[in-house]
Amino acid sequence: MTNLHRTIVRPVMTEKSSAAYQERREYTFEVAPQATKPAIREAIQTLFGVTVTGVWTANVRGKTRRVGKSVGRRADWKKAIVTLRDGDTIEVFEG
Amino acid sequence: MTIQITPKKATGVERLLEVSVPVDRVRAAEDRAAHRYASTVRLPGFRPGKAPAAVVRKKFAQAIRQQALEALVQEAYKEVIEQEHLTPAAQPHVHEVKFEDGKPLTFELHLELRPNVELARVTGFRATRNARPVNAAAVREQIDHVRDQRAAWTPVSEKPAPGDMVAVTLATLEGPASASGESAEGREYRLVLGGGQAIAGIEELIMEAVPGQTIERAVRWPDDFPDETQRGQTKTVRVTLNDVKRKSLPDLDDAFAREVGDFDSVAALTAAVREDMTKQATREADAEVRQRLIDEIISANPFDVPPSWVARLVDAYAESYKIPADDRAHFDTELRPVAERQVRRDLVVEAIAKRETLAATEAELDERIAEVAGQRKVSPSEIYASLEKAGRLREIEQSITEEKVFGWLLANNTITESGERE
Repeated sequence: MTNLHRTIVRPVMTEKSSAAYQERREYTFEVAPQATKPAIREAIQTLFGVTVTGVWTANVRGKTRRVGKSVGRRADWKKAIVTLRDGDTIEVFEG
Repeated sequence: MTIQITPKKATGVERLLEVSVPVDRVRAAEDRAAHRYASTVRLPGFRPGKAPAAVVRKKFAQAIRQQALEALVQEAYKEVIEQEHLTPAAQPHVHEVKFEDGKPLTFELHLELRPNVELARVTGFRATRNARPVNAAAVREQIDHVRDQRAAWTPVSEKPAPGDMVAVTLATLEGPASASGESAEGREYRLVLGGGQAIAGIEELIMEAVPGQTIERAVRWPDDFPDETQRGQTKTVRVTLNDVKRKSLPDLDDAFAREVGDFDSVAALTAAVREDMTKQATREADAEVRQRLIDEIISANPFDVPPSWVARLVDAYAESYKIPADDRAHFDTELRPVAERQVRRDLVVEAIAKRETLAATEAELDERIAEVAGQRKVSPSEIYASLEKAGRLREIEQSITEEKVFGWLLANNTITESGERE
């Protein structure tokens, strides 16, 4: 993974993720489906200039959506939750 | 930390204050605004109102600051009023707002205060009450006016005289009479002679004809004719007199009296007209003497009036007279003194009512409402409800107060009667 921005897609800002941040200092991102934990760690460390202490990932299955008769499905995506060394922060979550 | 207030200018009832709100107050207001915002705002990923304040603040920084600013100005205004013991006359104007991050909020507050109407002297003035006499001639004139309104027009077959209504066909033939032989299409007019509705020359021409006759002659247009291009011109006019109607006034007899209204005889009609006119004259004289007294009091007790009140009244006048926007500037300058006088008058009445405790009481209001109810033959509660609905209770209260104030003024000032009564 040479392209860091392709690894980390976007921070996830939802009720659940902001609660995780506020309670446990966990940062949630959407990442590329093929991204591995070491790649995610590497990408976050380089992008934000922090030290990552833990990476957890999950493949999120896209929800089925229907419009009238036609049934569709949202894309699957990969979620990564990372923790940082004490004192490090990532600005997007700071508010 | 408290708000700092620096007076900058004070003229008449106007005040210009510089207000400075300390940084910590500004921050607190921003926090409050952010929380308020967070409790209502909808963000994707969050249920309504569940987004953390920090996220909301980041996303809606501008709007939150605006809200905070509004809240701060309001708050500061309230505090200024309390601290300085001011009684504002109108909504304040805020200028020169400086609202930078991490700095105190400063702005200028432009206020108009309620004038302090001291009224050092309200008694001992002299005013003359000019009661206009209602004499027999005036009554007769009024009755004649009614007769005139009910006049019948009867056709006659002789030459018309001034005061007659004629139907004519008028045609203007260009050039001198001899040169033009052909006839132009005429237009039909109905007019009353002697009323200046037609050019004097044409009226004369009409009066020379008998019904059915056509006369043609050169007529000179007058030098003061509204259309400048036609002034002083001489044109041949052809007049065909179609019919003549003469006004016949109804006889002043009991039948006429019955027709006009519910009167049995001419005497009853005359008495009613006289009573009406007397009442009207009394009302006018009363209003005049009141105005004179107020004028005296105003000139003896000068005070400033808030310009915004005057402006508001001028607006109300313009509204009620339906003045077009183009004429507003002229209208405003004309009406400003009138409006200012009205504002002063109201303030003086209010001040006297307060000082002499002449304000209308609940009982007086009830009494007045009962009176109106009696006249209209409905229950007082109905009248009360309809007045309240229309928001006119206050108006009635004011008119009672005003009557009491003027009663008091008339009793405490010297009013001399003038003008002879019949």
